[in-house]
Amino acid sequence: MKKIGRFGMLVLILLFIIVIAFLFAQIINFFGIGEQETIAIIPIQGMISLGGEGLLLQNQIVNSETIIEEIQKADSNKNVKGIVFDINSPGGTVVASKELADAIAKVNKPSVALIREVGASGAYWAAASTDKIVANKYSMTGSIGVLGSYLQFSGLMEKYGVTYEQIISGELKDIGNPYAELTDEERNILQRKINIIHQGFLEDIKEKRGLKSLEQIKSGEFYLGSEALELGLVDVLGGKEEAVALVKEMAGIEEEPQLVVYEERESLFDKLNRLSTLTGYSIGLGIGKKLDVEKNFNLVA
Amino acid sequence: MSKKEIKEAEKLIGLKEKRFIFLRRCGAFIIDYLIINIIISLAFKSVISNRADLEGLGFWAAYNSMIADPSFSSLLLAMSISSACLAILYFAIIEFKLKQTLGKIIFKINVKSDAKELSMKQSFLRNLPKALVFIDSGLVLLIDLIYMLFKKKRLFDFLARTDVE
Repeated sequence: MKKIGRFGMLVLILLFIIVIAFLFAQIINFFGIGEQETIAIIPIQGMISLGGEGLLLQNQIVNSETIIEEIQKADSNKNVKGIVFDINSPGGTVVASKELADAIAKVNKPSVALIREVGASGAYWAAASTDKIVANKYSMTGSIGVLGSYLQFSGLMEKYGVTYEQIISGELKDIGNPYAELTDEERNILQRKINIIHQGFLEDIKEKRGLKSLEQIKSGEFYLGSEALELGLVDVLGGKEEAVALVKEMAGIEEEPQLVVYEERESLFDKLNRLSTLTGYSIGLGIGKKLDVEKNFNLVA
Repeated sequence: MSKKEIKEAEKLIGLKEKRFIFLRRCGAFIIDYLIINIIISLAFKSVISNRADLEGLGFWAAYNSMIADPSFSSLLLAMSISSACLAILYFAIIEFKLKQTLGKIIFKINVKSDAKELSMKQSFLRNLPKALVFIDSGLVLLIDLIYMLFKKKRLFDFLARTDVE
């Protein structure tokens, strides 16, 4: 075949393939594949922490940065018309909870928080940033307070004749160290910090929920769903169906939307890591129990 | 040189030639793959721009962000299947007509059939793994290439009774 003929044939075939490619694209557009109205479901399951993930003593820890990434993905997707935050969390660290709450407040679409078993403290802070909150009548929520605690070993050390040597510049440098009792001054300082955070938390909730007074909620008590409804901390008693229906109504979705869960996909390595963590924990638990039994027998003997 | 030394030298030259062809085949595939991706990015740009916030993002950056978004899984599947069809059309038709794709023309290699003439069926079969790259991320092609390490011929070249030289 002459070179020009071969070249001409090549160009013809390439043009044919380009036409077919555009035809495929038009078919996809015509059938509206990937254009279905969507409600994003974003799970917040476990203790909220900055950078933490996995299991801690069988309690699930969730990374607030990961959730924020999922929120941004859902918010930038033109097909996502609303978001349901599926919450089952006792709370978390202050900064992580606040960052999550701020990220939810910035969402440009209707959002509803669905509180399952627990949506308290930092998790409630995040929930309060949504447009509406749905909870089961027996869900645990509220707990609008701040907790800062640690084990203090000075008594145990004294029992065994262990002393703590303090070499510091600035007398408050090692405030809160677990090897010495808190002085009254140190205790007051820590309490002041806690109070500042608590006040900020309360003000934020008051503004977001439109509450008239903070008197009833400032104790840090947790409330059941039914109690929270009376206090104005939740809007509707119900479950997932009610939450989705609320989002549909707020977003003006008429047809049945697709529900898509936005969560970080676990890689094979992550799955194996989680399995080995669980296995190690179970082995340790078993050995610990066995040793307890041995110890008891020895005591009896 | 003794007969044994001559045979050793010929064997060594043969091996070097095979390695050289392997490198040329890789180069040709890279060029063909780039051409197909350019066609895909031109054709499917409208598909992506209708469905995602593309501001400031190129086609492939937007595509990668869609891969991370679970609501686009049906769209991505449709695009993957379309891309695989385009790839098989590109490789199969061009090799059937010209015995060479554009990449092979540049690297001066040809497809040869064990039979008299290369048929469309042979061309289709030998290029199937390259098309499946767009769906299975290259697993079948990898198996194909691992087979080549031991048998000095791609598995699908063996099945289609073709070779490249």
